[in-house]
Amino acid sequence: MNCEKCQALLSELLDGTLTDEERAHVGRHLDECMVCAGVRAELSAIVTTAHDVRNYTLAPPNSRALWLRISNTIEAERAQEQRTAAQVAAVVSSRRESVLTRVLHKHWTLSLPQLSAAVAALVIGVAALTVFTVQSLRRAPPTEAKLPPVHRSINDQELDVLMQRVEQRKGRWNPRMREAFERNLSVIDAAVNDSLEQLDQSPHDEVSEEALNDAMSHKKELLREFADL
Amino acid sequence: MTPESILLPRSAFGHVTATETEKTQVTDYALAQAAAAGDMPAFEALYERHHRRVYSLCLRMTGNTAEAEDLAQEAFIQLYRKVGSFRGESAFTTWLHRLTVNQVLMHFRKRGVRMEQTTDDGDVPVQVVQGTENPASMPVVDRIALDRAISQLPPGYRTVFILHDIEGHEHEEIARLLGCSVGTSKSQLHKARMKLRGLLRQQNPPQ
Repeated sequence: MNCEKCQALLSELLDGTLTDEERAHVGRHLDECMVCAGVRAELSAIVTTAHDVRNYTLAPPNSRALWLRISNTIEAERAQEQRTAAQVAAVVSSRRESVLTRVLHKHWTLSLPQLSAAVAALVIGVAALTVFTVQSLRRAPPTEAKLPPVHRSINDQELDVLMQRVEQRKGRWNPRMREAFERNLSVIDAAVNDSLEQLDQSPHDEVSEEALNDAMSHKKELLREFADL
Repeated sequence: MTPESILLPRSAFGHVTATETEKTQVTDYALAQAAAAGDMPAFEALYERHHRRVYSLCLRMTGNTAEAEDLAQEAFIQLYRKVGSFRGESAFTTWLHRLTVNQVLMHFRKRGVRMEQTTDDGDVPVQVVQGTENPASMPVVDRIALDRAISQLPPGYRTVFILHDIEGHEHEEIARLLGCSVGTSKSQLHKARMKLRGLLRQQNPPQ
């Protein structure tokens, strides 16, 4: 074994991942070669110091200011979420109120045949519903319903809409912009596929789930940016 | 003192009095649950416990204080958004560490940072140490010198070295995080170590 081959295997020797045969070859060379033995000792010192480095943490220049920036951003997001929730609730309640108000405030004037027909329709409806429910209960298996299998797929209408808009606008972009977009999109898609593969292997892996969510939100962000260009 | 054993500095839960809280060691999991329910003091306690580790990781991976601060800020904001999904199946520190690494790698991807990789036709070859080199051994490596040398590594080498030798990840996990093969991860680690050896010799040439 020459020095080049020996030095190429030094890292694996230090990490203990060489086969017995390789380790024996490298060991014999190191016994004879002072230069390679010196490199091995120096790499070993680097690895040992690196293990210690983990325990030394550094504080940011101004921890308090960093916390204030973080908490301000979070508070702003929370306030925005609350405003949006309040607006949605107001819209929903006003819609409900208007439908209810219209029904309650309407003046109903029905003739006797109309009233009889309405009652008959109501009776038939209730009877049909009862029969259907009883039959469904009989058909249902006595065991507990099984949970659907874990299945993940990317089905996001917003994403589709954004993608369509981007495709429409692509024609107007210059080649550099198109290249930048394609590069960014391929990187994000790679991350999405990677996370999906991981989730297929271990469906309950929290981190892969987060990574997937991250990648999807970055994809949306990217598409939003380029959809307006 | 480990992050898990730090006493909570102030009341983090509405239903626990300040005195009771000061006497109680609150676990990261309990704080995470409280933070998920919107308890900001609980989230602040998590920040107090872990911000140094998060910032240090960002700083080592980027080699730039301003970028590291921005990434640490982003990591904690992400933490707040996702803390509800932490189910306590792994240690909180491990979970937060992976979240931070993902954040930094996503930042690198956005910025288009080139992750040095070994291609079939070969790129940056490792310089073989010849007998002509100064035979005196490298001066004793200390943490500060190593940190300085790490900051001078190319981003791809730096990332693999930090993830493997400092943070203790296996090559399989690094390969998954970086989207490369295990062989590439091993090769980049070796190149990073050899490069560091050269940088440390330059910092303090052997007498």
